[in-house]
Amino acid sequence: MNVHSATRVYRGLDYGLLAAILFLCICGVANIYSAGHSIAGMGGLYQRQLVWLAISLVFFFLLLTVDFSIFSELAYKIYAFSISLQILVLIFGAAVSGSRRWFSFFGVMYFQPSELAKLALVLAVAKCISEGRDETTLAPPFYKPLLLACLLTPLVYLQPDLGTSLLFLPATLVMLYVAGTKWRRMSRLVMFFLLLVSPLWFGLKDYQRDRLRVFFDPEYDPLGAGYNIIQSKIAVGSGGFLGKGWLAGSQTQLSFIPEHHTDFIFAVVGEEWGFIGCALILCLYMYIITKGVRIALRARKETEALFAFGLVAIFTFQVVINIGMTLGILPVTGLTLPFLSHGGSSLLISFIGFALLLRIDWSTRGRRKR
Amino acid sequence: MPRLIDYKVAYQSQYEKRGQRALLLVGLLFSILSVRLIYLQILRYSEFQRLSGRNHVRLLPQAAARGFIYDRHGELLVRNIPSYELCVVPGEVQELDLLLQRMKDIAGVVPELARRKLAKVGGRYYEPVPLLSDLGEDVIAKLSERKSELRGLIIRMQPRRHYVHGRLLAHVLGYTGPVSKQELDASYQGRKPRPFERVGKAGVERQYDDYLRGHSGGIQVEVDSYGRHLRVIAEKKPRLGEDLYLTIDYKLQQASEALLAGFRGCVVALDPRNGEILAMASKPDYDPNEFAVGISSDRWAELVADEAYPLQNRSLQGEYPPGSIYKIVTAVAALETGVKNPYQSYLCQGVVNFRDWPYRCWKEHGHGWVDMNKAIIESCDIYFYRAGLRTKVDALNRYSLMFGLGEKSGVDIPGEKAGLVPSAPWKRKRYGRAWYYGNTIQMSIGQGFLLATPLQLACMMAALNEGGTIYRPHVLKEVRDERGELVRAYKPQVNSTLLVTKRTMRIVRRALRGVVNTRRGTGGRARLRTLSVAGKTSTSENPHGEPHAGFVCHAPAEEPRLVVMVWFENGGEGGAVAAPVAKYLLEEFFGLRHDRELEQIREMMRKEMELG
Repeated sequence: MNVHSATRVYRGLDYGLLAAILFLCICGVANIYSAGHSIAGMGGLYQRQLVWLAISLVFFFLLLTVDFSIFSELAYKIYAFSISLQILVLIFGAAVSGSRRWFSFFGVMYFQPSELAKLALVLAVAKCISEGRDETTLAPPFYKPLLLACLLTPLVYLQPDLGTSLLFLPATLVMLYVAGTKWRRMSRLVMFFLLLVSPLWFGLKDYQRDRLRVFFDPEYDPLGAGYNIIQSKIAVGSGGFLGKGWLAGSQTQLSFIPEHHTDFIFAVVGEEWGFIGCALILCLYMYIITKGVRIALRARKETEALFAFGLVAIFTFQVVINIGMTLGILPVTGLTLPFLSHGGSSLLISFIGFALLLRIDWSTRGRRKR
Repeated sequence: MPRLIDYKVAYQSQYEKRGQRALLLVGLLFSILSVRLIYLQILRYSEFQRLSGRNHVRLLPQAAARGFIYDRHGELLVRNIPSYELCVVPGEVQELDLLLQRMKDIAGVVPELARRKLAKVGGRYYEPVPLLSDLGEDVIAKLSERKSELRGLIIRMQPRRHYVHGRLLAHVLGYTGPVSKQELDASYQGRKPRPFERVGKAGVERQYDDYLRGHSGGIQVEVDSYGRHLRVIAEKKPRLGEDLYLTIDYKLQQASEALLAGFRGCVVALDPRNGEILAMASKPDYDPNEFAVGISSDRWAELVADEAYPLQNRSLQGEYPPGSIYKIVTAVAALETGVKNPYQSYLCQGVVNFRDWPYRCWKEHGHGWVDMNKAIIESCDIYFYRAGLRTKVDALNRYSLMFGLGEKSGVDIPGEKAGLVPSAPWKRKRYGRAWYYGNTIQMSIGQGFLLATPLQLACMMAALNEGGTIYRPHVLKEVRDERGELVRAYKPQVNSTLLVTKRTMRIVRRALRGVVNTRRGTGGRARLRTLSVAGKTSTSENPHGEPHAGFVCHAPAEEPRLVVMVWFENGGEGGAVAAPVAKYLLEEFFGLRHDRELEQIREMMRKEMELG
């Protein structure tokens, strides 16, 4: 890796995808500013987001110069590292309102290892499937990827980060599906997944269970757990076609929407930018996803392809679940909206993931040319 | 172990197929999200628009200050004074335990009670929760001294009713209280109160609540989800309640209450020319200021259970057998129907037999030969037994009703009682028995089933004027707004007119003058040298012990300007106990020199009652 190769990567980069991502980030900062500016102590949130964005971009451009094969080589080590981080955070993590999800650096920067886990899992599963095919039947391995996901799920679930922990198995599932696993085995996996999830219900914290319950009947507890859903629906609905305008949404400015800078950021978009704004955001996400799938399909190496699929799958799940929750059609699980929500680790990991994706894209196109 | 040919390249078509399918699914999911967006933001836009508006705008109601109440000459009777309320803003409290401990030390707030109130707040952390009302000045001083260490605590000012003269006129003025469930009901008479307002519960406060209460206003404030006030959007100033000017004469009222104090009884003074009540006192009484502060349930129970009935306005809620005062009605009825010749005399020997049953006169040895004039003056029972028997129950009943007995006078004070005028059909219905001879005999001297309120008896006396008109008694003179502009002036209303011949009226009124002004008259103690007074005493037998002492009079007798009715429960003889009180009040009203000082009269009354 030298300066020469780096400039070549930068020159051949898919800037359309990067532009879409950066546009989302700018929207995110604007909305975080709007959500925080009228509340004491939250006015500086957008500045933190900008700092994280800068850090993320540095990582992004640095990692672009690293070939994917290096990550592929290190996949299991990264996975092991990630597992140990999950354990460490449970022990040494900074407790924020009853949960241990963050590593605190000098009390200023917080890092959420469950974000890293997503990336680590996708890397490991991609490597595992592509290298572990049966020599004769060429069937992808089944239990090993499953085991990788199952190891992470409870660790993240305990932090507790319900939303993220529920992403691992479905993402693995998608990767197994595109790798050509037979439907019969897949259905068995789904059964297994359900079996795994059902005892979780009993281990859910009260507020989590309430969230799921009120999803089916928001008026069940309009001031408690159902409050979030109702208020966010009011915010989005009252935005109308054109929105109330930046910094003019009463639901947002008066903090009727809880967590409006992170999980419910899309409600701020809905209220202040209206249907137009929401549709634009949806289009951008759709564009990114389509691009991602195309990169995956074009990739010449299976590891690369599977990684791309896994990354896009997790990305898609997060977008759909988060927006669906804000619009009141999916339960509140606490997932961030990639590139839009406030949160440094989420932003950083998303950028790193997309750095790898774009590098795959670059090298694929390069190989084709050659 | 990298293969020579990557699986991905070899099986590209399979990857394509499954990848496209996955992408299709993503497209489907995004379509669902878009449809949902259209549904929320376009189809249901107006509904959510309304909800978001209601979410952050809160109306803080402000009750209007109630109107003041004055007497007829502008003497202030009821006003509002600031009262201080201790509130806690939960969102600003730092250490609740410490705060509660301090509040307990300084103001005596019970921590458990406060905790319970604060627990009910819900999410509105920035709305003050009232914990203690009507703080004393010392408490306020102590609290403001330590203001810095008591974060989250505020003292809020609220107007409260102040009855300037304490117990004076308590029954007429009444009191206010928080709105009850029934009053919030649709069936409530008058302008519907809002839940946060205080409304009149008794007396004038209740009768004229619509004027006094004013129109509450409020401020629309923008709040955030914690209930913190951000800015005022709009303000509607409350409209002050209107002021009442009563017909009450403060001085006469004061004199009446001073005379009655310590006794059980009442005084009604009214103007027969228009029905204006100049004084209305009832004892024992209560202090309406207790209600203004907020009466405790214990104290309330005590007032209700008190056997002297301090809450009762005896003038219009006390139903008593009228006794000899009723002889006025018997005389009028007799002159109009049964007794053609009032100058015919009968012999009173102290006892008389009707159908072998002895009936006694109050005077044991009799009055001798008595005609109607002497019978009224000396209150001879036997003459009236005869007169009543000649007149018969039907006529007595008819004339009683004509005098306004047996039905409410319609006075503008709530809770009035109707009294009772018996009749033969009434008795049959009530007791299933026929009307007896003896019933008529008892009725003709105002005993038996008859019941009347002192106010009714005053109205009866008021009827004995030139035209025989009975005006509806009332205490409201005028309603004025805050600028002093007249809103309403009470127009005198005629209740009924006495349809009797001039001769009857002349005979009765002459006799009533004689009651006060002749040597043997029972009401001699109300005699005035410079003013002609006419009246009638009453010593009314009742099942509760000593007879009630009553006296009703008007003056000047030629053209009455004032009717005074005095009634003492179990007071003994009307002429001895009640007449001097009436005399004092007449002197007071007409500006005459008092024959006897107030204390002398009270001393006299006390002695009489002990003798009786």
